[in-house]
Amino acid sequence: MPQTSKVPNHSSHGLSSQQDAVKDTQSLFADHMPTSMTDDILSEMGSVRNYREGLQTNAPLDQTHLAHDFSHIYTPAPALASSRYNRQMLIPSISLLGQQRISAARILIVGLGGLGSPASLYLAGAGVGKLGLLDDDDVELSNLHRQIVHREDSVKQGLPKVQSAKRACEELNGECKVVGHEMRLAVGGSDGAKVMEVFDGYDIVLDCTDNPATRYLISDLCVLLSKTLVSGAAQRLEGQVLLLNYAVPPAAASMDHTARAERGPCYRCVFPTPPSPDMVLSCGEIGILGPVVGTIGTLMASETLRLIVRGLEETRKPTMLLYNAWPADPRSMFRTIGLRGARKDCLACGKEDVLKEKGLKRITKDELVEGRVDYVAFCGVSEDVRILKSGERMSAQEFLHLTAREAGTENHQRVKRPVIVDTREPHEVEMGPKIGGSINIPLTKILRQGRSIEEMEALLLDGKHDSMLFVCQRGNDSQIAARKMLEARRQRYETKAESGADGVGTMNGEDSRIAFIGDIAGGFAAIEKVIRTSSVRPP
Amino acid sequence: MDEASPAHINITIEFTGGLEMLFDNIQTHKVSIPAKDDEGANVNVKSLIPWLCKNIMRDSRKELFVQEGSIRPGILVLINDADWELEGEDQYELKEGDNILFVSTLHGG
Ligand SMILES: [Zn+2]
Repeated sequence: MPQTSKVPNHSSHGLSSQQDAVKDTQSLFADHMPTSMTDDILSEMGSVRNYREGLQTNAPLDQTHLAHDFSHIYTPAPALASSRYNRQMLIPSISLLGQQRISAARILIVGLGGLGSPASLYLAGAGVGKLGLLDDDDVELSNLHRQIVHREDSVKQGLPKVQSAKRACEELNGECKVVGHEMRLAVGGSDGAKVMEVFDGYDIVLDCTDNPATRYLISDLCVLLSKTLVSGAAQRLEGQVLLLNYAVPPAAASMDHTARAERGPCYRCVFPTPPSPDMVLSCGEIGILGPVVGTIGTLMASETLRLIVRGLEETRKPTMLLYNAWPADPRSMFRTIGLRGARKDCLACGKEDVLKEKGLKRITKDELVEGRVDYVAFCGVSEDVRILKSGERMSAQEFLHLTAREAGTENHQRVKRPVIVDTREPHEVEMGPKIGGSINIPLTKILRQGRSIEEMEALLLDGKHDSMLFVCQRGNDSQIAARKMLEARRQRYETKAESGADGVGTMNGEDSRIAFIGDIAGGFAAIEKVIRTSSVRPP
Repeated sequence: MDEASPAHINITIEFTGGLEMLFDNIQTHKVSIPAKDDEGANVNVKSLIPWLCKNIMRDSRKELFVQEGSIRPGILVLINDADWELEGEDQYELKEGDNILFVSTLHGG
């Protein structure tokens, strides 16, 4: 530690640990304070030292003094101060009271994935009184790059995430009471009452889940049970954090000093209508970088500790923090945006009379518990996209058999082959299986106003092909691409048929030279399944 | 008409949460937009949206950005970093130097 010249250096003649402590304190102050202030403190400390030195020069202490009771003049430091939490208690805004609050807090983490991992570890480490962990999933190998609470060993053992995370949190801090809730977050049947009971046992809830239906359910539960919600989300290289159902300052318009704090928005207030299911992609589909989701989970833990220490009464304007790990402009890596307040016509937290005027009713506890609020239907089922008719789709089985047969045909000349268009993005093709002879035109390119349709049309009519098959990972994008191609051709031939300038058969806008345009249902996922389960070898 | 009023105003349009995918994979667009809409009214956020679709969107899936004439659910519109509902929603009249940010909600965890 650096020392100022004002500090007498005693280190040469073996100081007692107490004197060491004084010296340390001096250096600590000296490091952080303006010189004039340091001087004052140092001279004060000098007098403390002189006093003690004075004591030491007197006669040796009478041993009987040690048996005396000093409790009327001396109170020992609270045990908590010298506990494992000492370093966070040194932060003035936490101190003893803050730690006492942390030690008494009951926190529920829903979802033990990429967000829940750091959140649970930090909150266990900080010593929250009761840490609830809720999830119904098992640990998988593909989780480990970001879900740092889990270990390879948990994958080998096929452990549920709750058990795996509970073990890690307990290993980290045996003082923290970790409660596992291995259950599906669902309502209706016996689930509703159970979920309600679990949530009611906590003060603050962290939404670390990964789909809109659960996010709305968690928010509604928190509104009904008056729990503050810390919500986080991340995908690819971006993340978002927001506090919900939280005290906000009285409306700015009201200059009334007695105005009470208001309740902030809930998830429904911010997002009254869920996004369409085809806009909602999981991390398993679009990817996520470990430290990005880790940063968001860590911020959630930090927000939670602030809520615990500062108290749930403290007001704060509704905001959302945006994080972009790889921004074009480095200044926009972190950004806080101002959100609207609570909606008076919110189905979860709105005002009864305002809702009534609109012919609406607020969601009640009973409705929720009994499963009468259908979250899955509300958010839409992200079923497989059905854009093509069944006649426009070829099964993976059929595709593999046809291709295998063709390959075995001796007279290749007579068989026209399909143009196979792989609509995955280039990086997906690179990491995935491929079909021999296929061409890669990503869906985003097909959908752009560009030349890809003309390119495909030229291939289709080059005389070597009589059909076109689109393929993607799961059979969704391929349908969109096939529909786009079919539409483009229909318009083209209808126009030609109307003008009569057409040499080819164009009955009903159809092109008689082409046998089939469609996709491989289920995409590569389905093809791989057929190959795994049948004797058909890949072409 | 005010003589001093310029024909175009310069604003910044930003997309996050994957929306940039629809706009040539570019997150920040500095654009110069006509100060008046087709009817001669001052350009507001409502008339900005079709302008964006026509001029900077490079993907034909408009429905991923606009549904039934307005911004699709799950997208927050921020005017100078504040929720547009605090600023008069789509009636907000754009000014030189404004920043309009479109945030698509993330769900992953
Ligand atoms: Zn609400």
